Amino acid sequence: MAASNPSSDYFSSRPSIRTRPSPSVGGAGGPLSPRSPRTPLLSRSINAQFGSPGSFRTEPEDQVVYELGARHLSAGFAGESRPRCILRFDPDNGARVGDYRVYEPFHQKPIRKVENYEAWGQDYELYRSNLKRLDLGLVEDRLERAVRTAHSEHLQLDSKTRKAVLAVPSLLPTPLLDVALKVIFHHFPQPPSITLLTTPILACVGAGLRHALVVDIGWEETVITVVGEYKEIFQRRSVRAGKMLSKAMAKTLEHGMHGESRSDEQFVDFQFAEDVTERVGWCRPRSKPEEKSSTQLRIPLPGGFPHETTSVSFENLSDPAEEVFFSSCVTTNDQDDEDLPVHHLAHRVLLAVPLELRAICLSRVVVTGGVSQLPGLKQRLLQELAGLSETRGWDPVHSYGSAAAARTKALQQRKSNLNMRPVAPTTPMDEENPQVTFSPAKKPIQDSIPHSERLQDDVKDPVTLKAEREAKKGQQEVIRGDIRGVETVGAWAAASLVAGLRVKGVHEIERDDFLKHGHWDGGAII
Amino acid sequence: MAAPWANTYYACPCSELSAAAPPNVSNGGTPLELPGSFDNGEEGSTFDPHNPRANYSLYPLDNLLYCDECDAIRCPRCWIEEVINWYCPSCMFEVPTSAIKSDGNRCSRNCYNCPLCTSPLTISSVASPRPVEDSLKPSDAARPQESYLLQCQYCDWTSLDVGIQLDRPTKITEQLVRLRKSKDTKTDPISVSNREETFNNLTNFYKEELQGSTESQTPFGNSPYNSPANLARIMSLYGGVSHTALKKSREKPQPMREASSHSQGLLVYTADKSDAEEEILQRLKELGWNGTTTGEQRQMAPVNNDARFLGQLWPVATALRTRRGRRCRSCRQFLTRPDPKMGSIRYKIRLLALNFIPRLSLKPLNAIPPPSNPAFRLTLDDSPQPLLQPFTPLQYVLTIRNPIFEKIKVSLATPDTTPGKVASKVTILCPSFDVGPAGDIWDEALGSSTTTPSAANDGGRKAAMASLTGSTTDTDRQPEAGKIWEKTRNSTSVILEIVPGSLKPPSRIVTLTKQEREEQAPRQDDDRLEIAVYVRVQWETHEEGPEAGLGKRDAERKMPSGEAKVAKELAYWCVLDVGKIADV
Ligand SMILES: [Zn+2]
Ligand SMILES: [Zn+2]
Ligand SMILES: [Zn+2]
Ligand SMILES: [Zn+2]
Repeated sequence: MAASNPSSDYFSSRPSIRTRPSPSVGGAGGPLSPRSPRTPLLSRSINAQFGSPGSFRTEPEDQVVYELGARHLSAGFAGESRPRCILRFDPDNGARVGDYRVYEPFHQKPIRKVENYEAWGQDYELYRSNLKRLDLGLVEDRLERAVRTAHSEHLQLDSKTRKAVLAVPSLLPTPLLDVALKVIFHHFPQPPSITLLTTPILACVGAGLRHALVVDIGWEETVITVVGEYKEIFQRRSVRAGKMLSKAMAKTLEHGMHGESRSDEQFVDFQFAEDVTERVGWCRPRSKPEEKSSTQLRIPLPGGFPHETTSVSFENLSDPAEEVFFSSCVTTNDQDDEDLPVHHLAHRVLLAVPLELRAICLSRVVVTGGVSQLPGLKQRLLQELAGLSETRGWDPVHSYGSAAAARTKALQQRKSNLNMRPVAPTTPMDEENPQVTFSPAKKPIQDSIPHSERLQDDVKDPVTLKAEREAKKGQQEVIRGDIRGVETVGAWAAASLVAGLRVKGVHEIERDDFLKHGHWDGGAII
Repeated sequence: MAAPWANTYYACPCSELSAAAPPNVSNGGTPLELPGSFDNGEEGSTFDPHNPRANYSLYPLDNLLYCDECDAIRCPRCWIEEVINWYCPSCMFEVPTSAIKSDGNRCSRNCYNCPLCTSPLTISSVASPRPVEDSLKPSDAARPQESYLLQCQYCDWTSLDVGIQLDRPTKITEQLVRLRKSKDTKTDPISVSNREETFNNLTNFYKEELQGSTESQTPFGNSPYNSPANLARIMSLYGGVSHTALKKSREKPQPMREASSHSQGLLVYTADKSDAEEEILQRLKELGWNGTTTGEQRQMAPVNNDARFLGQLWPVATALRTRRGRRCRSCRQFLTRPDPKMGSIRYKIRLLALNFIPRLSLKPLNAIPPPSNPAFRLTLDDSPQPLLQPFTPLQYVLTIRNPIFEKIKVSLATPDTTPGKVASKVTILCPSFDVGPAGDIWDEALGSSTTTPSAANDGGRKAAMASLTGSTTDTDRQPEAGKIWEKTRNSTSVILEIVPGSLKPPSRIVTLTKQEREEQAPRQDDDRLEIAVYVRVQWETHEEGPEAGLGKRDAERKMPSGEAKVAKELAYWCVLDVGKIADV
């Protein structure tokens, strides 16, 4: 790690609520260090070779694009709309070579009773962001096997070397990023370089936008990011995400099968719960329909005799999403930031950014991540946001009870004309914002730039933005203010798009550099 | 197919986990006296077969290769694969390299698989009047001539189920591409080809944007971007733009526009209106569980990634397979190389580990005949081995068979109690011994060795059977410490004493937390008693040039001239499966 570590002083002032160990969050100088460029810059930086039209598809040098998530690895070729394979991590792909028991006709997976929420779905994830209980060696083994499967079975690569593009969640803990880079660099054919891209930016690019409010509902966490000019401006996260959803679905199914009384015992295993969530789970609209539909769904039980089914009402299948993403059991004031309902989190994130950017982002809500496929969810989120903006407006005083917090927000608000980017409240020199409201983990990368290096960011000055917009081809009125959602093609496809267009990713890691340093040293590249 | 659970696994020493040598076994030429058992006190120095990581370095012997240049075992992690041909497993047609990527590594002829069950689809013709109740198919009904459909023989899926009917029985791929394109994305808001369309729109949009910038000069003179120094500062502020990119951006410093219409890849929805989500919910309610696709079906092929409902599944073009050569990762020589001619099953080079490294096998000393003929077992999983009773000492015969033409010195080491949750005691009665050289096949078949051809590879079993049936003079023999149990020309057997541990964790006074309880709970295969044995093999060979590597069966008998002997050594962990421990 870099010896001179400008962001290290965050950790002294870091609030203790954060359970994640500090090395996991950008490893004290890893991705959070000022020269750590985790953000791709989709500016006018294209290769000259791109100039000739029609050369796009027949580009001889193809790149391999990977998307790594906690639960899956997708791999494919740049310029294609879909990955060639989506490999999910599950207990079966951890079997020994030559252990054929999973292929036997009567094979039954032992059902593990999981009482503990921590352990829910553990065998199905590659990693968790709590590194304390994670065997990085095992992560490497599993990832290595997945990459090998992708290469030899799906991509069927010949020995030609190809550059690689890796899409990762923003703030993927550095040790995990190191493992991923190591595996890909070591794997044949060894790529000469890997371009790193982060999912919020990709979601934005994949929606055709420059600015967006990206709501990435993933496995362990929902991460909400304000993206402006293809950069992560502000970011917060909540644990209300896929893992909680499948656990809630398990509970709903239990109730359906055995009634409330026996809810403490676990009959529904992870795979079944997830299968149900993916296939028939949904999210109901904000306004209650006049009459409750009485549709019942028959769902076959796993491992049971054929035709053994359980009956669940269609209505109930929307309960888990309701409970996990939108219910606020406690008032928002008391809620830990990490446990906020998704719409409240989105509201808070929007409150934290200046008016102009907020208005732009409000019309560019991009929902992505695995759970975003849940039908009804995207629309519901917009409805909730509309509701919040109606009842609370965008005046932070009403939503924040404590005066101190309000003051901070107000100050930020006042400053917004000068600087679109919220100044990191934890920066020691920043006298105006004494409040420590979030840990570095939740801070956008740019906020960790030391004060001295920061300059008046006129790129994002609203006036400039406006001037540019007007000047640029002159006609287009930028839509803002109205709440509007924009579909994205998703992180993998966007990475494929970026790579296919030969846009220079900001962060290209050369193989030699990586091997020399043994791990990725954030500062050393450029 | 082999038994579902191979008896013996070999760990390739290429991972740090499997490279660890037991304590007091140093790698530098120490005398070959391994302690038969060692104290398992030192953490990390032993190989635990129950460690989840172990699964990634253990292989059946048949799956491993051997590099005779490096004198090392090679596993998928330490060999490099090189594709020699791509072919369709269905029509066996070899696909030229140029077409592979563009066809998505799939057969572009007439080979398709069922999207439900992956069986191959057949093309059948139908007389035109189609079943009336099928509402999914297009309504251009009045065509008298024959039409064709793809049909699954296994699960009865037909392409009619998803509204696909073909005009000709040939050029299926071409027709399917046309049909898929013609599926109107505007009338169906959740069409599976939406993503392709949006992706293409976005690609074109960005392409135009990027290109436009290279042509037009900066239209606004007073933009802050005009100052290259300013821009450079902004860029460096956000870090790592490469220098070339930076230069480029100085030249054309304009921001991109954003997509503003559907044709540019922009797809919007509002709080009140989202066609796609409404449509999905509607269909979900109508079709129920049985109308939805499973995860496997969606992930089987990119073409079905977005297929939420069965009616959206598309026939899957058969995925190509490859024939691959394998090279050693360190010296790059070929370890296996199939004959490049398609259809040939011959290998030009094939350095299988089983021809180079000793094979271990474990059999009970007093074998109990299997309960029933394995052919009549209902499931392969209910193991033929009887359950092992905890705390009951058992004796096993461990046979080491030498595949090479040199005499080898073998020494074994194993932790005295197995690592992991279940502590079983293991003692190897005779840890160091010699194994004679292998002859060639004819020697074995015709020679006067004690083994008959049928039992040629298993002296241990023969001995065990012999002792059971009492047909030899060995009936009263007792295993003795330090003594070899049995020896044939190229195999040696020794006795292992095993006392299985109990599955029940030692009782505790403190009650465990939920989390601890879950960690303590037995996981799959915890009840399986497996013994990790560290095998160290030493031998001497005549080094007569690069071709005279060991064990090459074609290489003629050793030249008598080779007087320069070279000492070689190989060490690896081997995991012996003893059986399941009874839960009492
Ligand atoms: Zn290996
Ligand atoms: Zn074919
Ligand atoms: Zn079928
Ligand atoms: Zn080699």
